[in-house]
Amino acid sequence: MEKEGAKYLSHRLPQLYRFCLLMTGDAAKALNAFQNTVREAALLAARGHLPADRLWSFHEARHQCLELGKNDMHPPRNTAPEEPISCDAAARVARLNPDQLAGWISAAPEPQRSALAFFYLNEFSHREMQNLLDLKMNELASLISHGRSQFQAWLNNVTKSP
Amino acid sequence: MRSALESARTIPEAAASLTAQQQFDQALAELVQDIKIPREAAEWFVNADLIRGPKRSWKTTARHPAILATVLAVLVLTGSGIFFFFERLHEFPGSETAQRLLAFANTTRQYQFDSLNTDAINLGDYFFMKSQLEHYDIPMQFADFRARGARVFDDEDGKRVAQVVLAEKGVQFFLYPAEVSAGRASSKPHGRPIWRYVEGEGWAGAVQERDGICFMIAMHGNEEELRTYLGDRKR
Repeated sequence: MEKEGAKYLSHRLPQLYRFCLLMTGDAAKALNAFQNTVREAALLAARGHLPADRLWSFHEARHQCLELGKNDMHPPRNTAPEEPISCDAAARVARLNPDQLAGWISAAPEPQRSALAFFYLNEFSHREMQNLLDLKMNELASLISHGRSQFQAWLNNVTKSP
Repeated sequence: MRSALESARTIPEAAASLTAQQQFDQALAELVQDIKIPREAAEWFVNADLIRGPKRSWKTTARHPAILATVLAVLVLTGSGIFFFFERLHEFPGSETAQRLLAFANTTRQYQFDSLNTDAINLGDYFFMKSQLEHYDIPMQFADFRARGARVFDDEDGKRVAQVVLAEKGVQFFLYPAEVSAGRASSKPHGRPIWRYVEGEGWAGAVQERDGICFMIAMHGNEEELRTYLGDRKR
């Protein structure tokens, strides 16, 4: 199990960085959170206390991102308009660049920000996301559902219909 | 949830909405995968394999609360199983009656017996003549025991019980009807009757059945002492 944890860490570091970028919306902050997480893992490994839990690194990365976000000058948006998912949404998304998506997700309030970051990382089961976020299934579903509609509303503003 | 999704697919509007949502999620997930990893982050990937915890020893694994709880539960179950197995080993048809009679051995006083002064071999006739009890015979190996008193009484199940007090202190005989629904053989096939042991009230009893009658020799002490006593008698 420990070995799997280590293997998981080496194989999933790119995902860990992507998660940090989605959470912070800023490459420098993402790198900082990512490096702090890996350093913490190395420190625990050296002491023989690295948890075998494959979710640990993402749990720690979320903690690091939230810590960095405490000093943020820009408060998260409180309300956002919502619109139903349109048929051309996928085509509109294709015109975006990843930084725009990261910027939008990182501006969401907690725990919606973490829920969307974990969800679109396409890495975890619903049960794992529940554990990571300490949420009930209906709460998690609601956060993602509202996130979709809010992103669609934003998408309609920043992209033209194809 | 799966059935709800399947149902939704049968409704055209819902199916279209569901498809759009899936494509939307997929497009966003692909966009996330397009995030470029900066060189500073990628440098960590090379040494990530060095970050690993210590190999978990069997001792550490054994100390895990879940393992400990499982082991404890298995030990308790095994212990209970062994306890009940040995309890069952001591049980035999008529063991409850024998156990009860040991209390009589402990509490009956000399004056409650009819006085006798005869060899135990004569007791079969005595019980038949006096109380019409058939087959209440003393086994031959105890034929030379000196009987000082005897009595016949009904126990709480209405069974006729014969109790004999002997010249030898701390030893008594009991004879009582065997249970009809005897589930276990009380004697070896084509061999001598076998002894079954009971303990209680500071007495030990050895029971054997013959011709539907149980004979019990009760001795003040424990089963071990009684076994030794019977072994010595055999020699």
